[in-house]
Amino acid sequence: MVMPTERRKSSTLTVESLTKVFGNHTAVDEISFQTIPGEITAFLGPSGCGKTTTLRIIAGLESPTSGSVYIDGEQVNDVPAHRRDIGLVFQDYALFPHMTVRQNIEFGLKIKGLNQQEIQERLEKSLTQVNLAGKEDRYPQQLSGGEQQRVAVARTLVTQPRVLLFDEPLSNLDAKLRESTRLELHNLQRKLGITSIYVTHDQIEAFAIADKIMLMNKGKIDQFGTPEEIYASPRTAFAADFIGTSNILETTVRSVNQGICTLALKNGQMITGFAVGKASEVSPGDHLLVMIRTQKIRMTNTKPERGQVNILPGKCLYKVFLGDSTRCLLDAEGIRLTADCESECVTNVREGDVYVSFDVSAVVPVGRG
Amino acid sequence: MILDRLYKLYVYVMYFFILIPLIIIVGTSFTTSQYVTFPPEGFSLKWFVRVLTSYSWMFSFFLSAVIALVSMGIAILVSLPAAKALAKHRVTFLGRDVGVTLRTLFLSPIVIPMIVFGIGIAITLQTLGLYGTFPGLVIGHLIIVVPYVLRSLIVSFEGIPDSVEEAAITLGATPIKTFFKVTLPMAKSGLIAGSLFAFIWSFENVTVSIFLAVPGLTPLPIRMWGYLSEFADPSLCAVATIFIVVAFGVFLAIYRKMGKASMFAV
Repeated sequence: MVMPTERRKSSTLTVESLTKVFGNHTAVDEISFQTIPGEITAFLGPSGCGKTTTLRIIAGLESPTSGSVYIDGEQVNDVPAHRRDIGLVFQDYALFPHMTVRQNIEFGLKIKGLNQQEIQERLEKSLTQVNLAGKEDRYPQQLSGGEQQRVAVARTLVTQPRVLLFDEPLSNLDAKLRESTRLELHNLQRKLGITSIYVTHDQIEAFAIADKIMLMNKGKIDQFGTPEEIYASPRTAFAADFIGTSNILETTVRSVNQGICTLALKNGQMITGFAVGKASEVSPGDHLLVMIRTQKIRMTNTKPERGQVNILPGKCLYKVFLGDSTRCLLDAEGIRLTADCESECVTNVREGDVYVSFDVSAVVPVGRG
Repeated sequence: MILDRLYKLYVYVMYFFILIPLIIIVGTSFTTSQYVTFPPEGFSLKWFVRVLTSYSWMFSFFLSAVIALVSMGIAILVSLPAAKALAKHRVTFLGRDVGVTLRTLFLSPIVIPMIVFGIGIAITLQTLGLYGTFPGLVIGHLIIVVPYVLRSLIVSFEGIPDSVEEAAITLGATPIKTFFKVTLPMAKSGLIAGSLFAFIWSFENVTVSIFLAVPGLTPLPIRMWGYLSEFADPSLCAVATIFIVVAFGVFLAIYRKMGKASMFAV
């Protein structure tokens, strides 16, 4: 049930050629994107990739060197942070330690000058929303990490911001709690339909919570798309390497024929892949980087019969049992490969001489070498 | 075991040496004799009565209290913006970061020998025509107490994560509102501790006051000093006892309000 006070059109956030330079370091480099109203977009990338800086610029806590931020088409560059109507949930929660839970949550409402009755209504609703009813007179120090996090979320949501920003909101929680809190956050955001940005360096978190992923590297957008797109067809070696676990191989194109391309590995062995995406534009002699996910590689003692392609003789250097899967480090005549095989399939495979095989579709071109 | 006992003994001996002068002074203030003797002879409150009904003693007492309060108040007003700027912002002058330089400069009155500073401020006030005036005394005291307030405020402000202030701003509070609703309340214990130390520091100061005091405008410690060299009767002990009670009261207030940690904050 959505209360009438909460019925509000979801906003569109647009960022145009955003750049931020600190001294001689370009933290954010010409970033442009647009979010779809009501969706969660995750800024995903390693530390120092510019995701937090971008978030802070959107919040108005940092001013861009150049470029613009628009909310619903209105440029907000010159709107100070306290008038932007953007909610921000901080990594360290940033609760006011000298205020009770109630006072923390009421803070934004009192600043907005709402009347006592409305404040009371919204307070009670948000306390129920985040499951903190009965704890409103505690101080933040008297709450667990998870509860503090929920206060931080409630304090922000209660002001009904146009855009909601999360700055690694779960990174201070332990693994179990992180998963359940993530689920709660996800449900809450869905229910309220507030356009959100979620900054994280954790790929699993980003995939689980976001509708769109903006993968960032060195201040630039590496790839923007749904989690499925980014996982299945990373467009760069960085994306392939950062998302999931994969092997990146340098190859030379030998031939491109009827949608199939033949590639030579550095050791002279030939592998075959579909000539789609980047691989459709190459011609013989070109260098091509391809990705093979570790889960797509099979390992057998005997030579597989079906199919004639993508079977490489090699050695299994060692196996690490991980439970459902077993990680195998393979050496295919000088080419190191990591494979995550189903444990059942490889329990009988001895370390030593093996055959390494993978499907044609497992070979995904990710860039020019 | 043996070490433990030796350590305890050491602690008790130290307590004894620290407390014995206080015990003698407080004890003597209740004596019936005309001279400072210990152990006191008999018990009387006549020296207290004499001090409390003496115009000049009471004038000095209130003068010192007012100087301490006024210089403490001005020190707070001066230190709040300075501490906020030094703790939370980049302070530049002609494009250079001068934060550390300013910090050292503001804290320098603690480092300079008080007697050197006393002579300097006396000469300066003379040139300004403020020598021997109430404002002159306040200026002198203000300079020596500002470092105490400033330092404890800087420490308090630095302990506040930027994100807490930013949270207030993203919730709609202007920077000014954020300062008064979030930053200042969070720095409260540092502010109170620093202020009370400033009060005591001014109230008991001799080395600077001695250069600035003139007849008719004599702070309590200076009057005590003068009295000691001329009379040295037990009324001095009574004044000292009152003095100890006031100082002790202030420290007790800090302790009650903020707990043990604050005693070491300054």
